[in-house]
Amino acid sequence: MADVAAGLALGALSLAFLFGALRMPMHTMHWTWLNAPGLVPAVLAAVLLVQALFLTVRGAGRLRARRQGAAGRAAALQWGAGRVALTLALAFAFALLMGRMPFAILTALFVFAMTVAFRGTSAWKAAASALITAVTVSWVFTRVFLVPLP
Amino acid sequence: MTRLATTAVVMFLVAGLMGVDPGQAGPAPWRPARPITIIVPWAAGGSTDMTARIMASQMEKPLGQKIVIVNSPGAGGAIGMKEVWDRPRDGYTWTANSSTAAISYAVLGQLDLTHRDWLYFYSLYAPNVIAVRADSPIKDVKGLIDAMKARPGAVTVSSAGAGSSGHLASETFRLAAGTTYRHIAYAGGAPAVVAAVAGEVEVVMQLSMEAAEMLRAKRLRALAVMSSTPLELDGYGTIPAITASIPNFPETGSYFGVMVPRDLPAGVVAAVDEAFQYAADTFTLRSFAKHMGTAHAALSGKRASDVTEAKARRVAWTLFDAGLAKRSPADLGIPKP
Amino acid sequence: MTPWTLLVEFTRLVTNPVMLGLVLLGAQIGIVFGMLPGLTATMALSLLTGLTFGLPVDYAIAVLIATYVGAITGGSRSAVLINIPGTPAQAAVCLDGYPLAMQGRAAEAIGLSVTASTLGTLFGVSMLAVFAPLLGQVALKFGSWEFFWLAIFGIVIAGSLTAPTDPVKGWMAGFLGLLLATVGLDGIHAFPRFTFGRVELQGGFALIPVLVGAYGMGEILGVMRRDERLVVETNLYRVLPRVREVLRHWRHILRSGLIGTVIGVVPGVGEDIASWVSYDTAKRTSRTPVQFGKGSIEGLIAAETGDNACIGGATIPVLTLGVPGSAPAAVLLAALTIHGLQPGPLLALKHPHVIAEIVAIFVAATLAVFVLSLSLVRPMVRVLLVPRQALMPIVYVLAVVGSYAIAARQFDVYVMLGFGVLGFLMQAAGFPVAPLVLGFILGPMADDNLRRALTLTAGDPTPFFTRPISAILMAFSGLTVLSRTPLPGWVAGKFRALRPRSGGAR
Repeated sequence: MADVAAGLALGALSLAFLFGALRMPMHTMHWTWLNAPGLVPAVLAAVLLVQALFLTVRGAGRLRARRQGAAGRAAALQWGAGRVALTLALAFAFALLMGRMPFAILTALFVFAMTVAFRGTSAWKAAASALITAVTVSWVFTRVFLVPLP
Repeated sequence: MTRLATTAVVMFLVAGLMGVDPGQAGPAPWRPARPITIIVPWAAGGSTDMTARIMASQMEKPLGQKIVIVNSPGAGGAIGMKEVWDRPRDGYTWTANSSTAAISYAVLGQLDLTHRDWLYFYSLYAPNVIAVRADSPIKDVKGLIDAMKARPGAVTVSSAGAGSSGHLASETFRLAAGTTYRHIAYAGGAPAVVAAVAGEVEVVMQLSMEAAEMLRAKRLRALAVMSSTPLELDGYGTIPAITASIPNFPETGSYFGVMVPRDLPAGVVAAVDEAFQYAADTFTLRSFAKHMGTAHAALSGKRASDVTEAKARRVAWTLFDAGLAKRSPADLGIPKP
Repeated sequence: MTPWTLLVEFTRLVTNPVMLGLVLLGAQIGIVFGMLPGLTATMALSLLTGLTFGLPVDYAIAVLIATYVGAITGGSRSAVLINIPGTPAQAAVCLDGYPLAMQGRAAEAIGLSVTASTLGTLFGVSMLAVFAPLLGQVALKFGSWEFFWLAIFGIVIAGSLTAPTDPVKGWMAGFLGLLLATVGLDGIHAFPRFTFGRVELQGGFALIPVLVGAYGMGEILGVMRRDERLVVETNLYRVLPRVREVLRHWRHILRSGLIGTVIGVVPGVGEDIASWVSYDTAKRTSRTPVQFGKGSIEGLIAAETGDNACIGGATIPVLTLGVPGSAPAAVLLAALTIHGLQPGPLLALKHPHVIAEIVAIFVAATLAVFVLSLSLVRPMVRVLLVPRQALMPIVYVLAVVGSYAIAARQFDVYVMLGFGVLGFLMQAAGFPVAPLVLGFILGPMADDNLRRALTLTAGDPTPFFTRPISAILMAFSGLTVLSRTPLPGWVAGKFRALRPRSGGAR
């Protein structure tokens, strides 16, 4: 199942790259096909396409051989899809809010939210660890390492 | 975390040791309250990076603040320049670049920003030098032209990439001498020079500062400097001017220095200029320029903008004639030289 | 340089308290930078070049060299403890270091990796001391043809190493990395590839955000998706490895040291490739290749010796040619230049004592890093006792800071997140991420050098096969591919069956 999905996704991606590479000019006043910018991407995309097809066919063969039942939803729950989605949502929120508010406050909020959501510790404990992380990280990076933070 | 704290304390001690004392220097219209960042749009170790670092070290004192260099390479410097342009106009983010690169972005269609959007603080000028391997059969500029005519399109010339100063110099030479050559692009000025030393290519026309040390070590031999006056290089000797062989050859080279967006508040610009004038006059910068085989400069304000405008005509139209321009210089309001 | 001048320089160094203090300081800064994912040796050196400008030349160089050694050594801690390489050089260290930590042997793994690193650095530096001018010439023997084969060799190795059970997936990850690395302006004609007119994409995806994302986010999501409390029981009482235990692997140490040094000498190829090639060679020559990837001590030692030996190697072309052998060495070159010590063919003539002094600083810095690293292993290993789910939000904040700080670009944070999701999906589907990251390092190298080589000869491919080093590298790559396909194994098996079983373990 995973192999078929991965094979199809990578196949589609490599097709897109192949198409893009072939649309690049192969012959101009600066280059012939020998050193055209599209040459290497086209070859790489073609190889990846072949590999993706192989993976899809192999995966489909194994799927047919096994014919698993559709307990997909329960499996997803057990696998932790919800937790992954929540982590990703918080991570994306963090990245998008960067530069729109002071970095230390953002860090504190993020660590607090993550700790409360995933560890179920008391709000006080979570707030304390959030505060310590935020202050330490922003102080050490901007004042000691002189690294620019947004 | 205790180790971080220890590190921190010791770092501050070192900062003290280096004699950084904020709160001296005369009254200035603008005083930075926190460290300034120079985003260098090239990798560490190159000509732009080194110039920026040495300028930063001398500008820290009059500004009374640390200046931190951040390297943000990619797309021939276009990304780093845009990054600086998108920052707030508070004077805390500068960039550093060569005049050639700053001019090229608009012509090459990489950025909408033109060379007229920046203010320049140039501390040195590097001319392009034509160099060959020490044991090359090519003895002078005439020999090079003969070789290029005898083997049309087969004499290999290395450069730091399409549109780089070395490539522009090669194109200028091609147009002036009426010859052809084979352009071989490398990932930077240093690899392009090393390719000539190793014999992978026959000729290199990069900037004087990039070839200087290999010339001194007698690994390379200079045929000419692309200028109307000969170049005196410490520890090597005199490099003849190209105008001796090809009269009317245009002055080809790049200014290097710090740049800030033109629309910064006037007070900030004045403070940067004051720090720049102080730094440019120091022994450190003068001896750096001399050692690198370049001419020392202290150009800012209108004079710097004027020399950039003059360079822009040459650079933009050479790029156009070489077929590299995405936008015609005429559309950008750059007249033909 | 005679042993005598070296000894004089070394004595002068250790009897100067300021110098010693600065070496220790640099070493500590380096270890911290190396340890934090996203903050690299290159970045530490770049920052310190500015901060040490006001110091006298030899003090500044001492801080920088100590930082360089510290950063390359320190990166193994995060690789072992949280499975995220601190710098690109430690990707191969993760393969065995993390499994060892999971077995409760983290302290031992860090102790071993620090010891191996120290031996590697000393090996590389002694090569620098003895063979500098000679090895400097090797750097000039590498032309576009050799670089092309070197890149192919690297790809071939990483693909087959990281996916031993299902090699196709390893290859696919590698090719995906190579393909995604073509995004941006191409290195020959500056033609925008797959950029959709966006300036940010013209520079392509930067290596550090890709690395931090693919490893870091992958690990973060992998931990957070699980509900149970994850704490690793760990043995804290063995840090310093027994001398005998390390010396048993002297073959691997010498071999990896040599590989690391030579790869360091080659301009533009650095610590990351050195550790992969050393790891591969160790696996190939080991008596227990099955252990590799499951917590092999040999693998750990080989990878760490290799990447640290690279430091001395990479310094050789800096000092003899003025050409950096790796990215951090490029900053070292800039620092030496702006301090008025122009590295290059004339350095040894103009400043005869400098090379001896640099070697002495390297030796002192290596010892300082060794002591500092080992003295703090126990508190560090306690990180494993913190529940992983509580650790990961902090790791994420560090990953964001690291991706942003390298070039002060918001775009890089999005790249990190994007590759994080990609890396997580890949791991979930059974693809290794290491070849993806290596593809980013080697892709531009293979692409540019292939096309440059063809331009140089106007399309004639002969030099690829006739230049000696090029031919050797081609043969190595070919043999690697052949040894992973069933046919030669089958032939060798038949051959071995015909002979009485004597010493055929290799």
